[in-house]
This record gives sequence, structure tokens and C-alpha cells, in this order.
Amino acid sequence: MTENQEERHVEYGEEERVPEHSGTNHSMAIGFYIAAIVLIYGVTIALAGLFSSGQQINANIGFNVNLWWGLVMVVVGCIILGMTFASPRRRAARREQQQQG
Amino acid sequence: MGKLLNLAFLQEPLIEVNESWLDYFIIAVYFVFVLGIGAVLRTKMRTSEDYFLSGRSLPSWITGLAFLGANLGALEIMGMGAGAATYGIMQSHYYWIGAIPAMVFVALFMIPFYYASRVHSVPGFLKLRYNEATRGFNAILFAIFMLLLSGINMYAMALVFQLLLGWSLTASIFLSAAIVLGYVVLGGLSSSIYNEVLQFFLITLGLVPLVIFGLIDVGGISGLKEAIAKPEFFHAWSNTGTTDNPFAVQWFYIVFGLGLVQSFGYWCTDFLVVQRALAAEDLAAAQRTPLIAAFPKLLYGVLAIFPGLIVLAVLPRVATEDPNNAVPYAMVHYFPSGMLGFGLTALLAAFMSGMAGNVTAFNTVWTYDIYKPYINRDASDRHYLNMGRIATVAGVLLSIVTAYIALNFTTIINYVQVLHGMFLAPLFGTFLLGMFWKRTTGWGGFTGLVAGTGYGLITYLITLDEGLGASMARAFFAWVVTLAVTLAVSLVTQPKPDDELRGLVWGLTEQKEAREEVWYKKPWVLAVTVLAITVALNIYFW
Repeated sequence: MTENQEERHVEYGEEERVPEHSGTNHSMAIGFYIAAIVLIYGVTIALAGLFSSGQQINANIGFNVNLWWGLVMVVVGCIILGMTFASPRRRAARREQQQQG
Repeated sequence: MGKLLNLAFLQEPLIEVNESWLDYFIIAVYFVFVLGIGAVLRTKMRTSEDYFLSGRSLPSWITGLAFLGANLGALEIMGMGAGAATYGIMQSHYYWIGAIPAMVFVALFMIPFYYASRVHSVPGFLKLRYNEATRGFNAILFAIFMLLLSGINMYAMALVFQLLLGWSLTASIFLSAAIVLGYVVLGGLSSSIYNEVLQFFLITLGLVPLVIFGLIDVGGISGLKEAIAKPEFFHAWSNTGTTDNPFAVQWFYIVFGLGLVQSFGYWCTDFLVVQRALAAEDLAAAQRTPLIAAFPKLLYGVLAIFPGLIVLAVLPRVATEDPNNAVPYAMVHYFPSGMLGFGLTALLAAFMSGMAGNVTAFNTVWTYDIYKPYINRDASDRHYLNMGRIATVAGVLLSIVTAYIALNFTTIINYVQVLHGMFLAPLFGTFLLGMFWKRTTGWGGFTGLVAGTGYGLITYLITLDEGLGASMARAFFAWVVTLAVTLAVSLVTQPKPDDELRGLVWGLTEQKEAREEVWYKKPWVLAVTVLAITVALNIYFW
């Protein structure tokens, strides 16, 4: 790559390719952030279903929409939490294996 | 607790909204989280590497979901629901033929290229590959395109507020404008990947119960068919031998206009989406990103389409008089207070971040690709920073105008497809030739892009045909015109030397082979699986 090209290269917002960063573990942080909000919503909605009749006005589906979907969201929140914990460990184990192999 | 709200703006309300403090609480929790994480991350994100790419450290399941989250906006949710209520199951072409093949192509061919090359933005690529004129022309078009798109997100957001608060559309539009400005100013965008993954979960968790409960209510797919009583609404392909189908278009334009030109144009050039793949931890994970996103995208062919069909079955007046509102109306119809707040939060989140993304893209292109090179070349950094701020406010205000333009179209999807045919189809031609044919010259690219865009614009203005089939055909021919003119002009003008094209043209860019040991993570395994499911779905809904 010529010097001239390198200059033009920098001109175009490609500074995002600079390798250094703050070192924040974004992967863990994203997992916790999503899990927290999904769990809060799941618990709130499930409780709403538990303490009110939870039946919608327009159609009769036959079960308590708030309660059941709130519980599904709690389960999803727990799965996200589990993946967040498991994924870096699995990857660390794999990296070790590759180094040994 | 619950108060009954009539929608005062209609003489006879289409639907009654039954919301309570709980729903407002759920919406408030969302804003606290989003602005809170924005504030925390702003202190931690020191470099743009952090900001855009989260330190290039993410596993592919996170980048895959962010990739799809960035794609889920007003168009994908409200637009597709509206389209399904108007055109039936044919609307699923926008997911299956109109997204999956392009996503597989991006994963297999474009991501390794983007990873190795210097291509990270469209105007940047056009200037390096072609010339200054091509960059300038594209920058102006892109700025207009962003404002026109931003208007739909604004309009979609206003529709939700109108439904929830019972205000007039104009008042709801101004409220949406104020909220988006606040979101951008308070740093809501500094957490883009965080919010895109969140958005994916919110929208999916909001739409899945809507489809499940709706189908239970109407008695499954057979009950749905019976209630709608329009057999042509349940065939995706079998009526496309002629134009006697809801889209009024033949299969050729669905496959080539939509499946090839419009879809590949969108997925290859939309760097708001592609950038998510580049945030992955290594090349193999980056390559896997669009493939992982393709699986939930398949599911969205059902999740976004069926609410529209369910509304058509249970609330036929809504489906014919106000199709854009099909999805929020279905939520009001099926969700009790609590779930309703959650569902509407998911919609608001998608529209707000979509609009903030459009406005910020407008601000960047205006300030650095138009204002700086052509209007005021040598000003201080502070000056450009202030210009960017003014552009953000101006962008939001102009979006109010474009929101009213969007209002004049039958559905949101008709509007977007008209825009895609004019803006994306020619650009895709220019991109493709520039990337794969090193003989393409600077002026060849420029004249081709101008001719293709001009063709799209003029044929639209002459016919004013906003039908989806017409847009597919227009996109296809605009692309053909771009290719033909670029080829012809390139052959009579001077090509660039190979040295200048390294990192920009396929054959002249060294790419590393991504190594992936685990069999189920191999790109071709994922690609074949997702394509096989796509074929199966198309046959099922034939």
C-alpha cells in the first residue's frame, strides 16, 4: 500500500480499525443488560397476570395471557443469563484445547 | 384501573384501547434502561472502535442477533403487517426470497472481502473506487434517502402514540420528534449494539405471543383461511404465472427485481447492518453473523406476516381502512394491560432507534460528505461539530415533512419499495461492477449511477405507480440501465491502474481463509440448512 493511499484510507472514518479499546467486556455486559430487562418485564407481567383476572376484553383465548407469557419471558431471561455465563468459558476451553493440539 | 379510551380522531373508532398505569410503567422502564446504559457506556467507550464495534470481541450469537435487530424497524414490523393485510401471504417474499439468499451471499462472499478490504462505508468506497463526483452524487442522494426513511419511522412512532394516548396524528408526530431528539442528545446511540440485541428480544417476545394467541383465537391456519375467504391470499407462487395475483406481478420480477436487485442491494450496501458482523471476535465469527441472523429472519416471515392476516380475519375494517396500524391494533385486540405495554414498548423501541439511526446517518453524511468538501472546506473541528448538531435538529424537523409524504401511500411498504427502487437498485449495480470488474472506470461508475437513478425517478414520476410489482420491475430495469451505461462508458474511458484498486476490487484484495473446526459452525453447513428451510417454506405456502 502506498503512502498516499494510506492517507486517503484514514480520511474515511476508518479510524474504527484502530485496535486499541477500553477493554470493557462487552459480551458479558450485553448479556446481563438484556437478561435484566427481560427478567424485569417477565416478572412484572407474570405478577400482573397473577393478581388481576388477566383476561383481555376482545377475544377469549382460554388462558391467562399475562401470566403465561410473563413466565415464558422469565425462562428466556434465565436462558440468556446462562448463555452469557457459559459462552466465555466454552471459548476459553476451546482456545486451550487448540493450543494443546 | 383501566380507563377506556376512544380514538377521538375517527368519527367511529376502529378499536378501543384499554390501557392502565402498568403499561406506562413498562414503557418508562425501557427508557430508564436505554438512557442509563447510554450514560454508563459513554464514560467507558473511549474510541470509535468501542463505539461501533464493541472492541471486536463479540461471539457470533450476539453479533447475529444485533445484525437482525439493526434490520428490524418500522418497515419490517408495521410495514410487513400492513402489506400482509393488503396482499396476503405473498408479502412473505420480502423475507424468504427477498432476504435469505442475499444474507447467505453477504456471509459467504462479502464479509471476508469487507474484513480484508478498506470498504467500510458506501461514500468512502465510491470515492476510492470511482471518483469524487460519484461520491458527491451518492452523498446527496443518501442524505435525501435517509430523511425519507426517517419519516416512516417517525410516522410509525406517531401511530403508536396516537393509539395509546388518543392524540391527533400531528400532535403525536411532534411528541415523537421531541422524544427522538431527547434520545439522540442524551446519548441513546452510544449503546447501539446493546440496544439492537435488546430490540431483537423485545420484538420477538412481543410478536410471538401475538401470532400464537391470534391463531388460537381464529382456529389455526384453516380457521384463518376460512375467515378471510380469499384463497389467493394464501398462495405465494401459484398465481404468479400471470399478473392475476395480489401483487399484480409475474414471478420473474419477484425473483430478479426483488430477490436479486432490491434484496442484494440492501444487504450488501447497508453498512448500519453490515457493521454488526465486523464487531465479531474473528473472521469465522464475522462470516457466521449473517447466517445466524438468517434463521430468525426466516421465522420473521411468519411473525411479521401473520399479525396482518389475523387482523384481516378478526378486524376487517382496520385491515382495509388503516392497514399500517394492523400490528398495533392486533396487540390492542389480544393483549391485556401489561402485555400491551410490553408490545407497544417493543414497537416504540424499534421505531425510535431506527429513526435515531437515520437522523445520525444524515447528520454524518451532510456534515462530512457534503458540507465539509463542497461548502466550507477549512473550518475548525468545533464548527463541524456544531454543524452536525444543527443537522440533527434539522433532520428531525425535515422528517416531519417526510412523514406526511409517507402518509400519502397505501401502506408503508409501498413507500419504502418506491424509494429502494430509485436509490438502492442503481447503487447496487455500481457497487457490483466496481467490486468485481477492475476495468470499471471512475466516469463509467458516475454516469451509470446517474442514469440508473434518473431512470428510476423519471419512470416513477411519469407513472406514479406505487404498486409493489411496479417497484420490483422499476428496480430491475434501473439496475440494468446502471449496468449497461457503466459498462459502455467504462469501455471508452481510461481505467485506473491496479495499484490504486488494491483492497477495493475482488481479485486484487488478499483474503484470509476463515478457519472453523466445529462442523455445525461451518459457513456452508449453515448456508445449506437455511436455504433448505427457505425452499421448504416456499413450497409449503406455494
